[in-house]
Amino acid sequence: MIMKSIAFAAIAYGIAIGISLLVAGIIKIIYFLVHRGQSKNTATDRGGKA
Amino acid sequence: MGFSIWHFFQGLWSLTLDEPKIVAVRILLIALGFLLIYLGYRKTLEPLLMIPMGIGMLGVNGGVLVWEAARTGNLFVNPLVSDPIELMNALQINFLQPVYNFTFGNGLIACLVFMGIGAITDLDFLLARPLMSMMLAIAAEFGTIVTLPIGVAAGLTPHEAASIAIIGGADGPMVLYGSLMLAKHLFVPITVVAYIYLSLCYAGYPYLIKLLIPKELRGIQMDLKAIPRVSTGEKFAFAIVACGVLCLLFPVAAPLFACFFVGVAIKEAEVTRLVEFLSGPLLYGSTFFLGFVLGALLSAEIILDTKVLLLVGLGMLALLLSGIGGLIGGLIYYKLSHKKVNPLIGIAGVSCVPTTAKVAQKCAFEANKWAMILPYAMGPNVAGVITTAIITGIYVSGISFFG
Repeated sequence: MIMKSIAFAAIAYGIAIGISLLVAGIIKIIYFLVHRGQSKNTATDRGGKA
Repeated sequence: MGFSIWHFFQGLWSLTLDEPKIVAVRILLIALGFLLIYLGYRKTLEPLLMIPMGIGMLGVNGGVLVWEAARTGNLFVNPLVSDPIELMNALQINFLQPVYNFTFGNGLIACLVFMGIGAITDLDFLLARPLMSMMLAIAAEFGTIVTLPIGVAAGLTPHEAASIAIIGGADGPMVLYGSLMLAKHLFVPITVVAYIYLSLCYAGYPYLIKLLIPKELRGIQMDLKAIPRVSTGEKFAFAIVACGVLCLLFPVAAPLFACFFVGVAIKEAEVTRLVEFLSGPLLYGSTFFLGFVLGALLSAEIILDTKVLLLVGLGMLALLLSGIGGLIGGLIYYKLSHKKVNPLIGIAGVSCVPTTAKVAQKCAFEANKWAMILPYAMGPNVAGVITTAIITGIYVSGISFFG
């Protein structure tokens, strides 16, 4: 039972890492779709204020 | 049963009728209720939760009535009633029974709190640094993962071990929801332990940080000008897409995802009246009843479960390991970023919003009064809410196949 639970925990962590990368990927895709053709929009571009 | 002077003071009378073990635990819980109220009043623990929880606890353990044949009971709530006729009677007698059956038993209270949290969550820093935020949040789920096999090794069933392990995610509503789905018979002690520990994070984590991170690293300044600006449209689009994808992947946790992201979407759509409702009356009303009913559920019979002591230890272990995991993640990012990232932002991945982010900022200030890291810390802090929901979804969906 203990070995099974270690295996399950490891699989769960692996899946969670994968889904987290997917969420980060979704954010990146949305960023690129919104900012297509725009210059890099940082606080510095807006006059140096964060 | 003939009349005696004790009929006027049934709470005291019940102390002479119950088993000595039950009486001792009742007195202990009344004392604990007073302690929680005091610590809440002094702001040592979160007063929003601890004052109603403490009053519920001392009310239910003090206000014990004597029924016929020297049986004892109260007028608060009976969580164990399941027979429909008994339930109908209980709903008409116990004043908190309707709140318990219609908001706790189905996880609604956790969903309502999540809607409110969504409406006050700022996604800016998660969206500004998505990969770093998500990876630090995942590192800070270390306790949620490792406590599961430790709990099984300690004698818990996989379902029980998974529900106590979720404390490592440091997300109160998620612990409540997860334990209701996985180990309903233990959800009261698990949730109470979780909320007490979460209140203690602000006091306890600075010691862990000072133990693991040298002062020169704690004082690293981060460049706030490098944070990209995030538009309302981006945040709204993310909330909708992420909600759809995560609900599709984890239907068991879909109520939580839907409630969290509906709060976020309403905030980003700038529906002011709904934002005011979700972040005010709904969030604080739910939090109040969450604390009060949890306190009222904490009767002596619940505490006398032999597993409660084990849960107390494992809950603390889960939060400790998650804190260590977050700090290790922060140190890895410190190396990867060529020493530009303050490793303290890692502990903010333990998603006790916004407590752990504030802890990171407080420790950074102590080391260097110019070190402003709070905006960076909020990214993993919010990401932690999402990663905890993901792991809860995985546990609830998959644990039966391994149990």
